[in-house]
Parts: sequence; C-alpha cells; structure tokens
Amino acid sequence: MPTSKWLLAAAVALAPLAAPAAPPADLGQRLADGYARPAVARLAQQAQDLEKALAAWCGKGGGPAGAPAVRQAFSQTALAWSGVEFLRFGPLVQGNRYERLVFWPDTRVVMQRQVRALLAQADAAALQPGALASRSVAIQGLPALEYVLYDEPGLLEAPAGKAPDYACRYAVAVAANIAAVSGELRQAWSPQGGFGGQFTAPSAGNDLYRSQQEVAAEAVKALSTGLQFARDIKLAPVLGDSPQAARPKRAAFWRSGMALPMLAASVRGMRAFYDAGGYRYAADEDWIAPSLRGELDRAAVAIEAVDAPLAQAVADAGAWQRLALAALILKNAKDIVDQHFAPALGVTIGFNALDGD
Amino acid sequence: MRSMEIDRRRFLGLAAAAGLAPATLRAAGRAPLYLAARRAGERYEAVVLDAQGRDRQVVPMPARGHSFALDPARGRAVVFGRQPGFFAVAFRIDGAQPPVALQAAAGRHFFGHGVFLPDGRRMLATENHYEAGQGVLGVYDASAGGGYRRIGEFATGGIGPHEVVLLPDGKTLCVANGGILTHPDYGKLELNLDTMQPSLAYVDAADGRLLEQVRLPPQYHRLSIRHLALAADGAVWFGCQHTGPAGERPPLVGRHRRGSQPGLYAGPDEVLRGFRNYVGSVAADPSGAVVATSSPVGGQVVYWDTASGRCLGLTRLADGCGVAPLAPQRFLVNSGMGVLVQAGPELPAQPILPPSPGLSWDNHFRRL
Repeated sequence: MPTSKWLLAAAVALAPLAAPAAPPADLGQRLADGYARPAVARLAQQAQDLEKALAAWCGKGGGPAGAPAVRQAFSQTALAWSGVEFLRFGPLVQGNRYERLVFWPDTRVVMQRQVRALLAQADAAALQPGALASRSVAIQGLPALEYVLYDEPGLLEAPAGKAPDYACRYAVAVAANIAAVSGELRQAWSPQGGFGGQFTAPSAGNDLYRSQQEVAAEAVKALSTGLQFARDIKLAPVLGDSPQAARPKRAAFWRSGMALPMLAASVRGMRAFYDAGGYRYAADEDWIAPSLRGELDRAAVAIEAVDAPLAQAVADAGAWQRLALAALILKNAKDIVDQHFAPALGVTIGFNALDGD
Repeated sequence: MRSMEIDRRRFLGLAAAAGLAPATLRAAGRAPLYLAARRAGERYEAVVLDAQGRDRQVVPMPARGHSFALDPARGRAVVFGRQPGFFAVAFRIDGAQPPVALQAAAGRHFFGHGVFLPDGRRMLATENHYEAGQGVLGVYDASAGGGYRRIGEFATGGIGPHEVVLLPDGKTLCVANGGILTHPDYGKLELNLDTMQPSLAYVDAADGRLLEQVRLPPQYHRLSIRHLALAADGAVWFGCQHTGPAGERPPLVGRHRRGSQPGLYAGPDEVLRGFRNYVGSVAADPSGAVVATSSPVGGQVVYWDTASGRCLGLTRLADGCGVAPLAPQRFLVNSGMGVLVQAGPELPAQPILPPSPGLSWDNHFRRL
C-alpha cells in the first residue's frame, strides 16, 4: 500500500470510533420497554408466586397433593430467569445479584456442600426474614432451591405431612430471597430506578451511557456473550465429543429436568431482545436481521425437538446430534452478531477487546 | 493533562536532555529486538521483531499465544498459550535451534506469563491447578540439557495468578494473583465473583516461600490485579481489571513497594472512564520513569510518571494493547487491527505498520 494511503488508514483507526451506521435514536427505550422491563417483571412475579406456593405447601407438611403446583411454580420461575440471565450488565451484576440468583457453574460443588451443612445444622437464624441475603451466595438462589426440592432431601417426593420441616422452611426462605432480588432488579430497571433512567436516556451528562452508540455496544455485548454462554458454558461441556463422552451432570438444572427448556427459553429471549431493538439496516446489510432471527429460531427449535430431559437425552445418539447442531447454530448466530450486526451499528469488537485477558 | 502535540525542535531538545542523539534512538549499539504473539490469517505465531516491525523470526503455535518468559543473556524465550493454555514453546531468538514444545502438566494450565531466573537454570510460569482452584508457579529446568522438564511448583498464595515479574534483586518474584477462579471446562468464565480476593504476592524464587502478600482495600475486592511492570526505583506497577458493574469506576493502576501499602492512581475522570474498567498490559519505558497502561476495550494507552503517580497523557489506538519500551518516554504500541505505532506522553502516535486485515497483535509486546 502506498505510504500516503496507509497513513490515512492508520489515522482512521486511531480516531475515536467513528460511526459508519447508527442505532435507532430511541434504542435504550425500545430495549427497556420492549424487553428488559417485562422480563424482569415476569421474573419478580413468578418468584413471588413460587414463594407463596411453597409457603402454603410447606405449611401443610408437603405431600404429593400440592407438589405439582410447586413444581409448576419452580419451572415458571426458572423459565423467567432464562429470559433475564443474558442481561448481564447494570443491575444484574450489582451486589452479586447474578450469583445470588443463580450460582452456577459451580466447579467446586460449593452449593451442595453448603446446603447440606446448613440442613445438618438446622440453623434457625438463617431462616429469619432477609437473613439469607447476607449468607453465601451459593445457598441463596435457584440451584439451591432445586437441590432441596428435587435432590436432597427431595422435598417434592416426600409423603404427605412428612416433608422435613427445616428443609421446607429453608426452601421458602430461598424463594423469598429470589423474589427480593428479582424485585430489586425490577425496581432498578424501572423509569424511577437509577439504571432504567440511564439506559433509556443516554446523554453527554449521563455517566453510564453517553450515547445510543454506547447503549448499542451494551446490547451487542449482551447478545454476543449470551450466545457464547449458551453454547460454550451450557451445551459444550455437557455434550463432550460424543454421546459416550457426554457429561449430563455438568448441565445447569439437571435435577429438575429444566436444563433444555431453560436453554431454549434463553435463546428465545435473546431473539425477543434483538427484535425489541427495532434495528434498521442499509440495503446491503438487510440480510442480517433475517439471518440472525433464523439462526436463533433454528437453535431454539433444535433444542425443543429433544423431548427427554437432558440427562437421558445426551446418551441418545439422535438427541445428541440435535443438540450438537444447536451448538453449531448458536456459534453461527454469535458470528453474525460479532462480524455483521455489531459493525452495522457502528460498534467495533476488537481482537483483544473481545476476549480479554 | 499536557497536550501531546510537540514540535520537532522541542522533541530534539528533550531527546538531547535525556542523553540521546536522535540517531541513537534508532540504533543504540545493538538494535533492540521485540517479541509478540499474533494471529496472521488462520495461523497463530510468536514473532521476533525489530523496532521497525520487521519479522526476524516466526515461531508457529498450535493456538493463540499470550506473553513470554525472556532470557536475553542466552538469547532464549518461551511463549505461553493464552489461558487456559495447554502449551508453551521454547525457542532461540536467533532461530539457531528448532523450537521445543512444552505441554502443561496434568491438571494444570498456563495463564500466559513466566520468567527466567538470571542464571538461566530455572524458568517459572504462572499456572492454574484447576481442580483445586489454586494458583501455582510451575518450575522448569532451563539449564543446558534440562529440556524444560517440570521439576516442581510453588503456591502463589492466591487464585488466578496472571503476570509474574522478577524484582531487580534477581531472587524475588512478584505475582499478580488476579483472584478470579476459572476452570478450563468453562473457558475464562469467572466462577467466584462474589468472593474474589486478588493480591500481589512476593515469592522467593529459590524455594517458593511466600515473603509478603498485599491486598487492596476491601471495597476493591472485585479489582483483579493482572499485569505488572517495574519502575526505575524497583517499585512494582500494576494494572487491574474491574469485574463489578460498569458504573463503578475504581482506579485501575497502582504502585507497590515492599513493606508498604499499595497506592492507587485514578488519573482524570475522563481518562479513568476511557479505560472501560480494563487494563490489558503494563510496561515501563527503558528509563523506568514512565509506565504505560493500555486498554484495548477503551482504545487508549495512558502514561504515568512513576515518581509521582501523575497521569502524563494518553494515546488513542483502537484495540491497542501491546506496549513495549522503545526509548525514554517512548513506547511501541500494537493493536488487534495489525497496527504498530510509536508513541509516548510527549509524542503523538507515529505509524510504523498500517492496519492489516487478518493480522492481529496479541495482548503483550515485550522487549528482549
């Protein structure tokens, strides 16, 4: 390249990110009203319902009669979480909220050890209203609740009137904690909440988001890392290289059989989060929207087509193949986000910036 | 902050004041050599370069690399895989012998940094004992005929040790325990954000004794200490990455002297904001009077006066991360977009290599 030309190119690269394209002028408002606010409100509502269902059921000593309602409330809360988990910025990363709601992956088996220890001690102080909030994050959230409901002591399977009292009251306290943290999320995202106001009204005087470009960068990052999380953290370690090498207990929420429905719900959530942005493209880029939507839909369909719980499914060659295909599609979707969607919004994702170290 | 615009006469004056004629900046006796890892098309390579950015030697790698252990006295280096890295490659700077591949020990992976001891008999690398979730320094036999056999390991006193440097006494290592628990099954995902306890640990290079460990104040427990450089006075300068919410903007750059409390330097608000809570690389200039801290996320390199902690200015470079000493007050800086520039607190960026599609310089840029 002649010197003059590449000097110019260098200057362009050195300039503060110039915007070759613009996100919608009301992007933050669209994403908040069209997706994030309803999603966190749903989580807060489901968690409240779960707390009520558990309290009523435990009050009667548990038993098969009320168990389906508890199971249903747990599943709905877990699915609502799946629509929120990829919004891993702002309120969700403040005060360890993400980890308090879902401490996972848990490579050192902290949750199981700590919950067992708590149940063994039957520490009454931990069940005082609000007390769990200051305990280890591992015993505060959905995985801990799933553990006591579905695994040890397996509250849902207890005969009528025989559900262990402390464990059941602990389950209620965890549900209450999930409801409280979710309520904080809803408040923070609301127009009155500090974050909700900043996200929807970027301006020079807004410390968090100076421009819609910065909001767009947040949205791109949420989608890109959400897709990466779905594939690299949730699916790949479970699938291994073959059905024989699959490790079903590496899945999140394998105990309740919610791993796959939650994964699908998360992908559908990312699709809805994308749709809420109302992105517009130049003529030569207008393939991006249908491609990205298509990949997200195909991934969700591939996951939903597996009709057994993940633990059994991965040992089956056909189901394993469908999930491997889903993993591949999620990778494609992430590539579209990183290589085409981001630049179309004027967001640059650098080689070093993308994958920090 | 001072403007970086400076006229040529003043620049020459500064260079003369620093005891350097302009010509010696280019060829100070033996021309200095540099090392960096890069992606070139589909290939990952470690490269020996001159200050003009010309390749002197290219060492192929099986995957993305990170930084180097350097043994300038014997003309050797080891490049480490990027975390979770399961390989390293030892090679001669002059390419006189074929490179030697090293594999991570069972249950360990490399974090990407390491050092040779001055006598050339030992090489130490930061590693993850990942099932235990503990940081270690792998100790390797770097003596002639030693074949880089792993002969032991030292605890670093923390989780996630990242960069390690050797203090001027030649006997004491300083390790940045980033505090972040990771497991290779989950890539670089942070698994302990709620309980992070980053620290600086001083370790006896001969026997692994933990000599001193320093933590930041409790409100900074999510400030991962990652990268290190030595100032002229022997103080350790460190660069951090904040894992808390973007709205929190803790200072990211600090200085520590043995036996004292660490100091943290925020710089002006706009500069601090521009880091995006991320420092990717730290390097001192050859005089040790100026430290450069880069943020590829924020696209800026910021300079600090090591005597006072004062912010001296910045250079903007999109995805710029690798910084290496060039001359007093001057650095070479490269980027994920293939750019190489020289820049400094008093010097607007001067292009050396243009942006190049398919060429990405990795995080670290080292002078031999």
